[in-house]
Amino acid sequence: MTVMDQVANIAYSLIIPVAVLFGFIMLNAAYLSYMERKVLAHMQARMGPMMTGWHGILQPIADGVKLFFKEDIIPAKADKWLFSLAPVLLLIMSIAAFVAIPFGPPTDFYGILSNKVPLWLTNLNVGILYVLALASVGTYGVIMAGWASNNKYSLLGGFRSAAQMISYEIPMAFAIITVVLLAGSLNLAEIVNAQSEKWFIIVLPVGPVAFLLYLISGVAETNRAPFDLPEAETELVAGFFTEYTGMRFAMFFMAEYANMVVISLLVSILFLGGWMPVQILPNTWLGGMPPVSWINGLFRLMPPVLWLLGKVYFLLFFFIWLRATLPRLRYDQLMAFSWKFLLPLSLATLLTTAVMKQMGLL
Amino acid sequence: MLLKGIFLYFAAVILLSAVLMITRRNPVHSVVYMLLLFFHIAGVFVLLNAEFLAAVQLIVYAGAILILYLFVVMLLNVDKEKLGSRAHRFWPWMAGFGILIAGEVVLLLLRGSFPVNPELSVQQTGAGAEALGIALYTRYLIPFEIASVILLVGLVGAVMLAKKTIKE
Amino acid sequence: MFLSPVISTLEEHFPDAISEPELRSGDPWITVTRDRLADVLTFLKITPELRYNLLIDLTCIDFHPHPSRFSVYYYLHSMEHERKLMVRVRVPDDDPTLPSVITIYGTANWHEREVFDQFGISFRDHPDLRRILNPDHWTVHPLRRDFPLGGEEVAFTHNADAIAVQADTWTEPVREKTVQDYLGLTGEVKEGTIIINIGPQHPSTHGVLRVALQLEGETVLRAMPHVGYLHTGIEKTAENLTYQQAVTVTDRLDYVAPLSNNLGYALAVERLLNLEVPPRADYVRVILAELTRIASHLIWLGTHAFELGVQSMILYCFRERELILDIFEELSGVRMMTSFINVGGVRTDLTPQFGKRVREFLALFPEKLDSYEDMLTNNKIWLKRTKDIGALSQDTLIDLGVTGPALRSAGVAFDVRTAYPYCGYNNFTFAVPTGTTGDVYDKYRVRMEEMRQSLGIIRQAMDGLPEGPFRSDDRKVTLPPREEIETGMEQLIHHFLLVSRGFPVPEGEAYSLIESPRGALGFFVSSDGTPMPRRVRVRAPSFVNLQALEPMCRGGMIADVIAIIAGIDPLMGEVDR
Repeated sequence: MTVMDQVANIAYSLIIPVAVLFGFIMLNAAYLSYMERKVLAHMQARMGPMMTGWHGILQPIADGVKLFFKEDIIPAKADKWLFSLAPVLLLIMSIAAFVAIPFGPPTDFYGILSNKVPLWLTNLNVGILYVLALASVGTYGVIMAGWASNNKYSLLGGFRSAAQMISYEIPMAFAIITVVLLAGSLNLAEIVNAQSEKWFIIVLPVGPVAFLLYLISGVAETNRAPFDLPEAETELVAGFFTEYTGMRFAMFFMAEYANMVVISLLVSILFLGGWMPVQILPNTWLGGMPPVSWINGLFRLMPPVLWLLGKVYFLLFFFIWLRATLPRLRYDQLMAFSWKFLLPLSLATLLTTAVMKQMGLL
Repeated sequence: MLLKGIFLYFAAVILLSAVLMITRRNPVHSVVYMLLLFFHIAGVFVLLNAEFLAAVQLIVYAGAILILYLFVVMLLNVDKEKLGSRAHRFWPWMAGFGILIAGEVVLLLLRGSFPVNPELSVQQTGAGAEALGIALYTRYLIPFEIASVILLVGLVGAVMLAKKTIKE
Repeated sequence: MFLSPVISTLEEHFPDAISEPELRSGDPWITVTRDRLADVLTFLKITPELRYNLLIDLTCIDFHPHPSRFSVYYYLHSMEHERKLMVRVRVPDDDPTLPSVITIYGTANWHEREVFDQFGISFRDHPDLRRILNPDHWTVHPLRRDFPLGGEEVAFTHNADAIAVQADTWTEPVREKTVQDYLGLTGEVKEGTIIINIGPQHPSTHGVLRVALQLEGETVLRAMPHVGYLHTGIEKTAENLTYQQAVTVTDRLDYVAPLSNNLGYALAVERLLNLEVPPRADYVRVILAELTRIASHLIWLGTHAFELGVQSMILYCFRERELILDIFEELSGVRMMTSFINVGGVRTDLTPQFGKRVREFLALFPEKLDSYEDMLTNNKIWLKRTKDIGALSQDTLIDLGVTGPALRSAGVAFDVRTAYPYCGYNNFTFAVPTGTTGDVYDKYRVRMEEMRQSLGIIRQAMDGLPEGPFRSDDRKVTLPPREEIETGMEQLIHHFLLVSRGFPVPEGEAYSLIESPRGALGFFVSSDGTPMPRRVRVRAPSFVNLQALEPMCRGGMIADVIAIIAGIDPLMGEVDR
């Protein structure tokens, strides 16, 4: 193998995928804000951004430029190191989660490449645990931001966030373990492959319950409405990032959007069959006959990665929809909801799954 | 060679952050160094191909336990902690125990033998979780159960303590 | 001479203390000596056949050159017997003190602080006698008649000397803030609590309200509202304008419902003038007041929902409010500060498009109201956030002087429109919606229902709208018609005089009470016979209702404070005046 071959190898296996992935994340982080503003606007009987470019399409870029050139203010009494570290930590943790996420089966892009390449950076055996671990560490960014700002509103926001994330991680973890039991693997790609016949969301009776558990915890984990207490602007001004400006502020936003994408990806992968196409009725039954099989065949024509992204954007739309509709919970109600309702329910789901699996019913 | 270099990096950061953690006057900074420590310990687990342990290390220690510490520490008045005297009236006892434990560690290091056979220490099990689960629920079932009961006792104790303060 | 059973009873029990009994626009007025004030008020409150349990207003008028300079007024209302009584106490210049009546009427707290602040009358045994509207370090009392208008120098570089001189005479040195400054004189520091200021700049305090919260974790131990950040001296300004000009400053009180303020002020002055307005003007006033009520409640609903996290609601509410503002613009050319209702009637006749627009709104709005209710009324999270939050008993609310939807939500059907009808409200059929517990949810239900009732009133008024003049034909007050000005010299001069000098108003005092969207809005106008009022007192419902914030919040959480503020729906322009 020549040196050039090695360089090419590294480029193909590392640099290009990393660049593509990073581009994907940044584009999402930027344009999700546009999507959020537009969707919210139209739900609220207004137009949203209209001035920058066609229907405000350049708005995220304008925002980015503005935030980039804003003065970077660190409060005099803040803990400067932690204050600077917090947004970086949060952003790194949310971006790092993408490393282990598979976006589709190995593909040669309809013959463009000579051999099939995987659509993921690494295929960790414990992929789901890795993502979970990063999500839990991301909390530090929020708490540190709250504490380091030396502002009472920020501190309360940080507290809320810490308590909330710890509380909702538990039902979330149980919902994930339910899926792991169903799939028999911690590997995300294998979890998707296990759903080629039947998505886990329709595995009765536990699938829908686990799906809802995960979805609710996921919304809480990303601090989105109706669980947006750490940054509840009408109570805590802006919660933990009250004191942040400019790029640091932007980092919090990017991290939030990146987290939303991660959660949506995980929901799709764990419950909605990942990149598996929609299939009307199982193949072995009526689904094998025309005209149902024609439709199924048509669905299969769409590339798997687009199926995955389609599900992801539907879920993101759902997140925004929630924000436009629901009131915010109160702090103690939020806690009670997790510990008194979600946790017992998730335990029951897990037990049911384990027992049914053992009896061969699933 | 590369692995050894990475290991040395992890080991160095672990030691350094451990020292920094106990010498910081600001308890929140201590917690941050501890977080760094946990990350690098997880890294060592990954080097040993124990991916499952690495993930659990982060989820349990960094994601849950340390956050609770941070929660408590943030409520402290940091300025007061900074001004307080560092020496405690029990310091001779503490130093004594420290020396005792350090001596023990040194003794173990000097007398113990460490297997250098990579086949033994690093098992290339495809699913670390599966092997670990089987080991925990067969060979180490009793220690595992004992640990669970102890945790339960702690849990009940915490609930009792919290309840008492509300009644007062 | 028999005037009223109340006066007879009082004269029987306190023969030495009662003097100057009279009847003014149906209400008995009496004067009480200073030393027997507390006794008389206690008697009035607890005697079963009297039961004056609501202190509507407590205020002061400065009759400057007069030897017994100040008069302090206690305006009482009996919920059971639905009647009012004005008690007056004369306070001399050389000894401006009075006994505090807080123990009898809890609502007197802020009123007495305000009188102390503005007139310098100190109230003995008041637990927390601090300034309320003006800066803490002031030594002067601006509403006294001998206080110069525009006396406060505004700091510029060229007048640094003047500022320094003024600082010596007007103010005392600014102290460092103590816990008592945050939590009131009864506030105490407690280990493990933090004090956090919500406001004056905060997204959900409806303006520049500041609430100092003492927190244990997220639980509120004390919530001390601080007001005065928007104090612009509207009452003082009104004293230096002619009666007709002063209408414009009333717009700035409750700037979400300016037409209610216009109406209250106009009624008070008309009472002084003994002026009848034509029926058409009354109908137009009712239509406008009820449209204003809907517009104001829409702002309340939008901000309330927004503060509890329903982001979309505020935009829907503003969309509908725009339609009402369009109607106002159609009518007066102004969207908010219309000053449309003035002394003698309304400013112009209705435009041809007015009726069509109002009917369009009447047709459209019920459906929109239903859609708001779909979004909130049975929403689980909404119920959780508002049920059993900020509930107080009926007696506590009355003691604190709370009126309007906040009182009705607790089940007390006190509505000025039915209790003391004005503008012919007795000709319309409408219900007074009440709640049961008085929590935030009940306040929500009551206000939603009030909007429906207002629609009904507007519909009736539109159907029965009589033809005729839109303002009084009393040429002492109203301007001559355009065509007469263009043809007659006399009329032109008269017009000039009315506009430049205003009309004189007979000496006396008059109180008008109306139901504004936020509660009982009172205007107390005193005339010295000149074209400018001696005193215009505004009994702002928000100001009084805000006193209930502290007991409502105690024991709740931070998020509840936000919900409770939204439930009270204070408007700082009116609170601070």
